[in-house]
Amino acid sequence: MNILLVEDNPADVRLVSEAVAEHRLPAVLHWVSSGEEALAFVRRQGAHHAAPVPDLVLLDLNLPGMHGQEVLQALKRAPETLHIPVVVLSSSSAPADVLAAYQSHVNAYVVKPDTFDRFLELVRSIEAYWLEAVLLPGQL
Amino acid sequence: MRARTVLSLTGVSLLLVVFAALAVLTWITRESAQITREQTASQDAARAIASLLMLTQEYTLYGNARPAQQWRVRHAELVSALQDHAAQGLGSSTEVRKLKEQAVALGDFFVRFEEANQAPPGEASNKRKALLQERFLVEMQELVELRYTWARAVIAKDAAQQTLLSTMLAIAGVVILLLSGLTWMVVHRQLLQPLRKLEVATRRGSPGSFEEQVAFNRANEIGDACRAVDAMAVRLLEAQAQLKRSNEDLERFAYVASHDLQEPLRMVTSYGQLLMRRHQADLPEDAKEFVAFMVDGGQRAQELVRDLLSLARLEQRAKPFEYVSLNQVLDTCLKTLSPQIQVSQAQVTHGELPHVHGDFGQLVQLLTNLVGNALKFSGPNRPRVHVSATQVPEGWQLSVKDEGIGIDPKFFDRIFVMFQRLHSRAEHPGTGIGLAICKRVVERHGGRIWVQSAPGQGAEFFVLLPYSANNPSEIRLQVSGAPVVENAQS
Repeated sequence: MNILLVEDNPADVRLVSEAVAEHRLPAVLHWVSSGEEALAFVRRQGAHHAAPVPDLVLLDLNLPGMHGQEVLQALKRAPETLHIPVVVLSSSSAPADVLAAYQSHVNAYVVKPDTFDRFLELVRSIEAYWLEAVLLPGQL
Repeated sequence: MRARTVLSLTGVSLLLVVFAALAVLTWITRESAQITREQTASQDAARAIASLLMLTQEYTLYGNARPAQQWRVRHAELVSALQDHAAQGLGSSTEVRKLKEQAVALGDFFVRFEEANQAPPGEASNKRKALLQERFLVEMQELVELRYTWARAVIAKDAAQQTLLSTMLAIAGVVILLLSGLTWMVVHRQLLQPLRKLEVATRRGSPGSFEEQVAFNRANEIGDACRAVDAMAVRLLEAQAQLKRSNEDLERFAYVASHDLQEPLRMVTSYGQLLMRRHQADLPEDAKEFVAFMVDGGQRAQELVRDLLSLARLEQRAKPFEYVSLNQVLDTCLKTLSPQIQVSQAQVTHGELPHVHGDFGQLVQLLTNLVGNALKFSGPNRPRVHVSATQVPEGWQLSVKDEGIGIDPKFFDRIFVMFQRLHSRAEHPGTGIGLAICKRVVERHGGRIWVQSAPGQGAEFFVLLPYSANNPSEIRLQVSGAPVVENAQS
């Protein structure tokens, strides 16, 4: 199982990786810090020519340079990437952000919790659903 | 032209017309008096001539001295009166002069007639007497005719005078009417019409209606006033736009600031918790206490930021007003509060609640905050909260009543101010923003919020929601006759 985390804040990345580690999931967390790099990763361009196809993308919206919303649109527009489930993981609960994400065919929109305990629960439920409950195209 | 100038000109013209009319009237009165005098003189002359005729006849019949004597006296009186009259130069001088000349000539004839009468009788003298008598009567007749001519001249003069008087009065009347009409027109067009326009313009109550200018540009007092009002409207619009801009800026600022603040705060609390989770065993007691303080502080700051965000969203997420069932509003807010209600085993009751004109989401926020406060500040007892509504002349008055710890009246003003708290966080957690939000919601609905309470006596919060400004009768109809039924719900 490969999870691609698109997040510019290293503290948040660490938080996710700690949560993944706490749950001892059989998943490999790949981290990119910008939208451009995320697209390079899924398209296996440049340094990422040997990258695996991610089973799930965890996408932050507030990214430097290319905005998360643009990354989402790029992913959902290209035939070779539109099947990859994308979960937006953002600190914004603004209606405009939520609506725009779903209109760009995001698979789920999740607001980052305030405390680590709840963060753990959230990562746990995301993984339980996307990595265990559902059947993904990458597993076929 | 300025109204002051118009009014002054009209006033001066009216005065001139009145003066002219008075002058003509005085002249006509004087003339009339003269005509009356002349008429009297003419009538006196007629009477004198008549008596001269009688005396002549008497003298002709009896030939004695007395009538002749009287004739001369009468004749002298007539001539002197006519002479006076001519000397005074009162009108009709030609007629009077001719009459006087005839009268004088008649005197000469009478002397000759008298001489002939006194002559010894004889054929020749008789013939001469008869001839003279005939001639005398002809002259007499001429005198009467001349008197008539004079009288007719006087009458003609009187008639002319009357015509002149009527004409003059008619002209004065027409001029006054014209001037009044002109003044009315000027007053109406220059003052009354623009004043009405000004009134209509200033009465347009709604704040958005200042775009329409009065646009009355005459160079008079009303024009000045209209231009001043227009300038005021422009300044008002500018101020309004500026206020709107700064309000929007402030909201955007609050929104962005609270979003960006949340990120680092989340890091503080999350890593604090992670630290405790992983290294609780390795940390000394005081270090654990420090981390607990750190996490608590971070969480409080997050709560504060969240409340700030909800305040900013209050305006951003404001929806147009619609008919809202307060029963539904209360149901929604009780669902939100159900964890607190269950934990505290609170009893929340309510009366029959009306439909009001408002924003559903905001009204939910209002009641949630008020009922939530009632639950929070319940004291040691099991909380009991009652929500009800009564109709007052201005609208609906909602009440949220509890039996909790109450509020000292000296704090009544402070509780609606943002971030004002009356209790320490250890006693009652909170950021002090809930009632500030309530106040803003109520104010957006055009209403008022206030409280009645005393320490230890519970508190009752009142909210006045006025009838819809657009159609008060409709709402009044919709709610009239709704019986107030006490519903218990816990």
